[in-house]
Amino acid sequence: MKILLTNLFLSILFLGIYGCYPKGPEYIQELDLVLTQYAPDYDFGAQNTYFMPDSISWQTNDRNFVPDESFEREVLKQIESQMNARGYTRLDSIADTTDLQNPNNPDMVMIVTGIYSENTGGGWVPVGGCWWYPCWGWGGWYGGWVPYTYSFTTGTVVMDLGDFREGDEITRTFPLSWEGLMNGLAGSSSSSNQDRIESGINQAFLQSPYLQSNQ
Amino acid sequence: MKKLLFSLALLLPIFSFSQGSYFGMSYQVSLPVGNTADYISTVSGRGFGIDYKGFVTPEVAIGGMIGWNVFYEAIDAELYDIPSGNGSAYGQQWRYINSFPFLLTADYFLGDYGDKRFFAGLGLGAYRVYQRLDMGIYTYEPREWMFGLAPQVGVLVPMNRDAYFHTTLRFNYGFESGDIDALSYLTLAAGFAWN
Repeated sequence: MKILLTNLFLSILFLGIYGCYPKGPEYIQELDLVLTQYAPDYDFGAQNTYFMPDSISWQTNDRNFVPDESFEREVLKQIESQMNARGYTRLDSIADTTDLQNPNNPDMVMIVTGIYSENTGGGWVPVGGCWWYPCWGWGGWYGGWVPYTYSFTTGTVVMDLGDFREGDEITRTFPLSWEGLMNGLAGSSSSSNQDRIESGINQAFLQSPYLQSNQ
Repeated sequence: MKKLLFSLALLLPIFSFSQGSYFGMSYQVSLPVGNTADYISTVSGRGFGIDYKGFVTPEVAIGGMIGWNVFYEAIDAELYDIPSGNGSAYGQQWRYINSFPFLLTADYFLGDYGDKRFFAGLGLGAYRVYQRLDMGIYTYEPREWMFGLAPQVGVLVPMNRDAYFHTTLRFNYGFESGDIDALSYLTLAAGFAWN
């Protein structure tokens, strides 16, 4: 009787804690993350113009992925709006790609990249059974294993701002002066995803007060 | 650390508990303090422990305790500086600490056998600590063994010849180890014990 009571009390305690174990986030937007990073010695105030392509460069492992043009337009429009608010002017083209110092060229270049990644997998988890002796209940059944699978999609939008005039004409690379990154789980609603990305873009600029032209 | 625990556990059987012994279980509420409160400030209502005490004299008992204390705090979206200092991260955080104390204990009891008995003592041993930080879809979870000590006071109240109600106030301290700062929290444990 004493052993039974002991096991019962212990089981209630253990299962109570296990059952009440905190579960973390409940909604996917709670997992949204905004990261920004900048080159500390870069003079953002001395810059005036920038070039940004009319489309987003996508990286994905989903063969069926088709970029949504209206989504791209909205994202680029919002980035342009934020850059305008900071005193920067967007140029429609690059005047001279062979001479980066050409005065008609932009001071900076903004490249926007989207990363859309599907993640799937599976495994086996143990269920039931008991972890101490003597085992009580269920006639000494010691449990088993059940299969599980998971599938989730992560989305990331990266804004890379580089100094055009300091670029390498041959490799066509530019030293990064600022990077803003929005990352999270992609939801099933594209309008919700877009709202979250727009909110992330606003936050990226909000936490980067040094992005401000003095020209 | 595992070897130390094993060695300490081997010492237990050399004592003769001719003065009696008891085995107890308890539900535990814990309050983080110090570094631990800086990481998670909320009181933990998730905890339990198992105690064993054997009397080597009518006043002195030695034994051991193991337990599980879970700390958790969800923090609304905030702005954090990144370690390099030239950037920021904004998002919600979920912080967890799972602390598993494995302690050998020595206690001095006041009063007589069969009466309500107050006791004070010290636990010495190790804490297995999982400290987890979730932000966005990313998780950082260092896991460390810590050497630790736990001064404690309590009372053992007889309910009948074989059963007791017992409560203990314990200060848990685990020394800094690896990627985890020193662990410190106060635990109030209450439960039942049997001879």
